[in-house]
Amino acid sequence: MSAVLRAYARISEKGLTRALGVGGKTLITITAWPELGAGPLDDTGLPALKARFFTSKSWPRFGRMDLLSKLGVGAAELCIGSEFPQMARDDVALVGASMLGSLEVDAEYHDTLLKGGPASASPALFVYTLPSMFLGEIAIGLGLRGRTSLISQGRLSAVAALAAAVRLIEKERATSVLVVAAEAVGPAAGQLEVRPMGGSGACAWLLTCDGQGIGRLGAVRFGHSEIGASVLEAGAENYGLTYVDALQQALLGGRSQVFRCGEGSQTISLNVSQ
Amino acid sequence: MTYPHNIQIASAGAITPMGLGVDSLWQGLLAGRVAFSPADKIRPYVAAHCEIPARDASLNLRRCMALALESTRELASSGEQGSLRRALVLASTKGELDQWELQRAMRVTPLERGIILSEMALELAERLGVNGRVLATSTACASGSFAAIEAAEMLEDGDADEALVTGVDGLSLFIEHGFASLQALSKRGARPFDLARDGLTLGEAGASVLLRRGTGGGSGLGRLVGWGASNDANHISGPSRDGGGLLLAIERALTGIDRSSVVAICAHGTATRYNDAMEAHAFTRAFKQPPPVFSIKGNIGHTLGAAGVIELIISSLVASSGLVPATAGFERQSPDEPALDIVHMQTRQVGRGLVLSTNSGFGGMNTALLIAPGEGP
Repeated sequence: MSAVLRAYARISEKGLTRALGVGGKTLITITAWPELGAGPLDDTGLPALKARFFTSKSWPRFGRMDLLSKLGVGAAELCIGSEFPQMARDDVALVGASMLGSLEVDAEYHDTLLKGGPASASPALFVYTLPSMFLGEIAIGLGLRGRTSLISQGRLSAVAALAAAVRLIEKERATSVLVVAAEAVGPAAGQLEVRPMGGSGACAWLLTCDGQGIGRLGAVRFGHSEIGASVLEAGAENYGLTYVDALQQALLGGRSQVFRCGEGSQTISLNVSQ
Repeated sequence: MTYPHNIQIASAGAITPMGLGVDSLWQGLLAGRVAFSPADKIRPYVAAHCEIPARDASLNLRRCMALALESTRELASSGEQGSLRRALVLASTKGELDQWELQRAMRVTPLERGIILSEMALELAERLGVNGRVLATSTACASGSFAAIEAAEMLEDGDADEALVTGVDGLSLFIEHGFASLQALSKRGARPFDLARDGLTLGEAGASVLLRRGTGGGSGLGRLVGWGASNDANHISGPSRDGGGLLLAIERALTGIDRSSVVAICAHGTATRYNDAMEAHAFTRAFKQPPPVFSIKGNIGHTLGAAGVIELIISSLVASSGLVPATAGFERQSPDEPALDIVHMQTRQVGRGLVLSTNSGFGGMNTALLIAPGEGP
């Protein structure tokens, strides 16, 4: 059994990319930030995000969210949004991925403690210091009540989450899975000994057990030095999103192949077919 | 009896406010010991800090190491490590936050990277010689139990022969002041499910379990025979009022199970007003007559990312021994909440059987694990 990729969305420094499987064809929409009326890119690598970039519906909480949540709900809304209103959302599993997680909010919250002492601790900031909080925002915003998990596997995080979602479908643990990978990158990331790897961004994939879509994914293998470094996909380093653009090419490229990637001794492969 | 799943809990290790080792925790719970100590006005009570001597690693990593090594001691003596693919799943809400916090305050650059959970997991795996998949998971206060689900499915899918699940979180001013700002901390010490409960008490701990497919030889502590997870989709820092989200997780865990064979529930039982009420609703909706319920957070506090792993271990011991520890601090339940049979005052003998263990966390996360007795003599 393989999983059907129904929809895909990407938020990057270039703008928004959205792909939908419609009537046996793939409809791809690419929108640059200026077309959306967005402001200039800031030190996060993105313009200031607004809910209207991702959805026409009212989203009052959006402005109060941290960047990771804005990216997560933005990618989720682009991917699942109004195209799938009939989906039984009690059964949609949500798999998140992030390497940096809440690091930027951690630093912001910690700075308030350093400057103002314990009395300055902000509950509004503190709740976003959990790396999985963006998944809570997505679940609330889209009404998803399936199993919710966050995978952090370094630069493989996004691919690992997608592979885990394919497995959920293959093993009939879920009938629909929304995968959302996000990285909020700012000054705090630069303070780590991990070298800077790129800017903020996000992506989302919607998988189902049946129906028509962009393509099919299956035959997941999580390995340990099995594939070998010489055949790994190249990818621009971008924390947990490192292999996302290479995977996008594989998914939207129109040919069947085995997608492979790895970091150190950890490897992942999955079959991509049309 | 045949269950939908059969994952052996081969061995376990823990460091908790009760001390080092699972036995000190279990004996402390059976004796009704409360490991809280007074702190200050902002955080009136905290569970005792854990003490593990080490020189070359940051605090949380030291705890992880001690735990994981204790859990793998059995393997180290078995002489079969080379032929087995062993995975590691690390669960934590904040990783090595304490070191990051300290280094930032001292303006150290670059900062150690242990606050990145996957980096912490890789370092731990390297030190332990883990030769399989390594990942970190974080789902707020359900992190530990979700890590057990991830590991169990990894084993069922044939991605590993054994999986080490480690949950860990330490106390730090960052976390304590954050919970204080949410007005979630008890002024008197956590009293799960009690009418007069006024919040949680934070604790720090780490725990590990080694999971294997099937019986795998040896008796083991218990068996993970069912699991489920869900999201409330309701509020980022509060549970659903009617327990509907947790109920979904429980229903998923109990699929194909005779509910009358569940002898006890190890509740999340944080002692916050909303969590405990939510659980009371969920339990009474899942069972016509809920089995006896207990919480260990009145003894060791809420240990965040470690809680799910610790409660999996305790649930295994309850399932195998038939002994249910009393819920410290509980006297009587609110008449406004669905009535539960809360085990209190003294340990109760319920007989060997299935134990349901539940966890919930910010972001609407819910998990339910079902544990059967070990297959030993």
